[in-house]
Amino acid sequence: MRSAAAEAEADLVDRARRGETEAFDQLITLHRERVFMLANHVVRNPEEALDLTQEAFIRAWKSLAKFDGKASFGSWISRITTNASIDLLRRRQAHPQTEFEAVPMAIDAASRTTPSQPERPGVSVERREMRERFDRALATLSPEHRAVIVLKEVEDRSYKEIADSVGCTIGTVMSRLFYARKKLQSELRDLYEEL
Amino acid sequence: MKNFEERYTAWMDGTMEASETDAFEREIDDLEAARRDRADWSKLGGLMRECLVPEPMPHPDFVNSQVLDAIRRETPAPRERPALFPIRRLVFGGAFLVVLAAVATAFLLPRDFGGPEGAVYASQVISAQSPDPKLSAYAFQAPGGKGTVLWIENPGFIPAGQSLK
Repeated sequence: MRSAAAEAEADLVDRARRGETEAFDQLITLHRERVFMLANHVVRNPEEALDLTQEAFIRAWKSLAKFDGKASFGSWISRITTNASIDLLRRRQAHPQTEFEAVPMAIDAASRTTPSQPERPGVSVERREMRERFDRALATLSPEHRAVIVLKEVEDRSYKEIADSVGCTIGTVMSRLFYARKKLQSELRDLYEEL
Repeated sequence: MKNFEERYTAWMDGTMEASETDAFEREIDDLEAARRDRADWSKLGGLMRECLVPEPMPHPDFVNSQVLDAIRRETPAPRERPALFPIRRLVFGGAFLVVLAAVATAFLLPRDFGGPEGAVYASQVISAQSPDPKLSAYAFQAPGGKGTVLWIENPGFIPAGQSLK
């Protein structure tokens, strides 16, 4: 038996499927933070995560007719977001200069994203350096391993949820976790040995 | 059957059944090293969660307007998926096939231009039975459909009474 929230969401999906953009607008509002967070966790770049958030919702709109409603809209949009994020990581690997180079400061008038926000003053230098170490270590993983480890460790998803998001078996998720952890441990040994 | 990597991950995450854990720990060559590895990952995983804290989304409403603008600009509204064989599609498909069959019958099927069956048969018998290899016979309709012509080439002789006068 579905909850009232799930019923309301299913109703929004039905209306959006019939072409009501107002209903889709509400679906975006319900899920945008979650989608942004997921994309940002995987790609580790807020500007790109914002673009991915928009891309995920546009892809969802275009594919609404194929959405069968067996899973929740949230799970479905998570899957779309994860796939879009993995695609972006693959493109980054094909053009590695974009991974850690500074983003140009000039703002394109036709840009679809907002300018990046400055570092929050409360974030210590040490914490920022540590975060950069994690970013560099994550960049050594394949897009698939990176998505799996981030979904497990940062998003705290279950094996099943990760398998659904990435589109593979639970066994594959567990194998990828094994190798991703080994790789991160070898890259960041000094960090945890200091603790 | 799960492979070693899958079972090791389940053991690291503590998602293994107790009985399975005992069996797995007996299989590990250096259990102490594995336990150290698990403790190390616990520290590193904790540090990772601490460092990679979720950042708030900048300008959330901006996303809505951007997405809806793109939708209105780029994509037509999604429609319900049409039924596999709607009636109208079946009617048009059937009519098209009937027309196609009529055209094929009128223009593509081979016709017999060799004249009536008896004349064709006679020409074949003459060609096959004649002892003269040079002799050949054809049957065809005369222009305007005025009659059937049995055309014999290279006859060695013509029986008396059958030659043209």
